[in-house]
Amino acid sequence: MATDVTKSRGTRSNRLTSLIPAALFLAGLAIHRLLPNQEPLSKAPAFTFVLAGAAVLLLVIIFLSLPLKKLGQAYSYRARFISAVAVFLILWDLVTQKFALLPLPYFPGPDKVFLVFVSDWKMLLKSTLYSARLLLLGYAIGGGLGLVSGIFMGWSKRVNYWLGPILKIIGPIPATAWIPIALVAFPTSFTASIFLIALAVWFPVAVMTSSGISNVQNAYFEVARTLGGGPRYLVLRVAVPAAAPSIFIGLFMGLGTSFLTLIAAEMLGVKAGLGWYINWAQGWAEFYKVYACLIVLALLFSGIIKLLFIVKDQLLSWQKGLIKW
Amino acid sequence: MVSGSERKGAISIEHVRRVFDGENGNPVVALQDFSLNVEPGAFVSLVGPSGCGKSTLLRMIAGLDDPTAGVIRLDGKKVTDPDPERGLVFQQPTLFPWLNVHDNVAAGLVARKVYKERKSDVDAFIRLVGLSGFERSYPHHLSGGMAQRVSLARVLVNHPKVLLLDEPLGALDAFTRMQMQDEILRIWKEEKITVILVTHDVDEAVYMSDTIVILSPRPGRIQEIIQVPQKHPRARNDEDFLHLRTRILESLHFAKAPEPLEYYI
Ligand SMILES: Nc1ncnc2c1ncn2[C@@H]1O[C@H](COP(=O)(O)OP(=O)(O)OP(=O)(O)O)[C@@H](O)[C@H]1O
Ligand SMILES: [Mg+2]
Repeated sequence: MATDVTKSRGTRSNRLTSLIPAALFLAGLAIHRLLPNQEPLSKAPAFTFVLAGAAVLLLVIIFLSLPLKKLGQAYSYRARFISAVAVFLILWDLVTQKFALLPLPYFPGPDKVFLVFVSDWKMLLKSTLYSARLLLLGYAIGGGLGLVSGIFMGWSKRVNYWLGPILKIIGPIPATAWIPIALVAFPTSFTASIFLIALAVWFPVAVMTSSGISNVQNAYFEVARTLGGGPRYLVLRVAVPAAAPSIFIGLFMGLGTSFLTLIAAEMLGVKAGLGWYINWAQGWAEFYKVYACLIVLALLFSGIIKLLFIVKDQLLSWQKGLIKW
Repeated sequence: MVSGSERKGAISIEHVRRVFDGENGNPVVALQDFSLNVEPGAFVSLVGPSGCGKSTLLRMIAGLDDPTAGVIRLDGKKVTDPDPERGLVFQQPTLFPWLNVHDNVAAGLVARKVYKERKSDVDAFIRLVGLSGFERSYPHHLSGGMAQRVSLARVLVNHPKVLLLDEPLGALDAFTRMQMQDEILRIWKEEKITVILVTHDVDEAVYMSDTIVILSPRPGRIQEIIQVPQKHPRARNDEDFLHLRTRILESLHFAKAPEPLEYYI
């Protein structure tokens, strides 16, 4: 689609339009540096670096896409969106820093927000690592238990008889509702949070795994049995791969609930992590830190989801048309 | 590959009856008092009207289904469960969509934990069914005929004593079909296996089998057993062939007797 458009138009005008995003960032830079400020700029010119850096990066990409056709196509497809981002940054700067149209301290200018990555990077990094550790442990435990219990429930009527109702009744309670109990039942807020995240992940993974496995066509099992497959083969080599698309949806839903639970747990009990950072910054009315932290959260979480989809594409290459990311 | 002495494949079907629970509680008799002895190394075809219990019979021989009454024996041993010594090619190819062609064919070897020693068989059987070059393709990229050939190779790689074929060539074009018929005959002779073939195609039955069993409409019973004396390779349209063909079609038509004849006139 995008390639057709680039081909039909002249390369010359195309090369000119491809410069627009970079030009916009440079315009933003000029506005930011030249227009008078309502509030003094920070000593470390963070936003200046962001704008200049973006412009330079875009010019490098344009330069590289002269030999690299693929990069060029990807870039020209994204160019309009990148321009919109530049426009948004300019407007943000104008509305806050330049004309002070929004109330402070709730809506700080971009310079203040980006400065956090310079002035408070240690704390941000530490919080990110804390959050990542908690998320990884909770997700691995909850996902693992969800897979195992889901496989058993999907496979065995007897296990499903006992575990099924528990899953159906306990599972729908949002894990965050357990926070008060978890905080007293577990020795530390760290273990309590792992429990909460694991619980949040366990439910969707177990449900989707067990329903995936119990919906596997019987014909696959019959084929496997006539070929000499024993119970182990039937479960691990037939039921699990056949249910993989469904299991993947469970893992994806589990990611969503785990993000939510992570932040809630950190805001309410744990004394570290990005959720705590947001709370703490809010307590000091340092809203620019809240925004910086939101940027980190967006990058972290979307990166993790991207990772899950890469794994999925590897494992489910045999399947067409699953959820796209 | 085959040590002749231990390799048998005699099937005896003794007074087998199979009743299903119908939709509204009425029992459905799929097979009624069915008895048949199949010698080791024989090639038997089952022909009969749709719904007369042919697939049900094959499933019971494969061990996927149990007779309501009667027994099925392989070399004197009662059949109770599926076993790779009785290979079944299903009416639908039912390939594992998550495995490519190579891994689908290798599935039986993996399941029986003999893949390492018998790896080379996989390629040999893929070549045999004419799918070299498609090893890495996934089932959703295959045509119906190709998929059915993969499912045949997947069963053959286990070197079964008994090969049960449930209309395996139905999805193929005429040319591939004839080619596959010759391949199956070649494998049958080479491996000295017992073959039971369900088919709707009378020509196929006459061309391939020693014995043709004609079933009556439901409940399935043996209507007639016809021996085909001609040696292989057979001609596909000489006089003997046409004669046998006519006889079977007549018998099958007879099998439809319960329906009012006037209807056809
Ligand atoms: N699992 C089942 N439950 C209930 N009825 C069944 C079941 N399997 C088969 N039947 C019935 O048994 C009869 C025989 O079915 P079967 O599939 O063996 O026929 P068939 O001879 O293979 O027919 P076709 O030539 O169309 O494949 C049919 O009437 C069918 O409805
Ligand atoms: Mg059938």
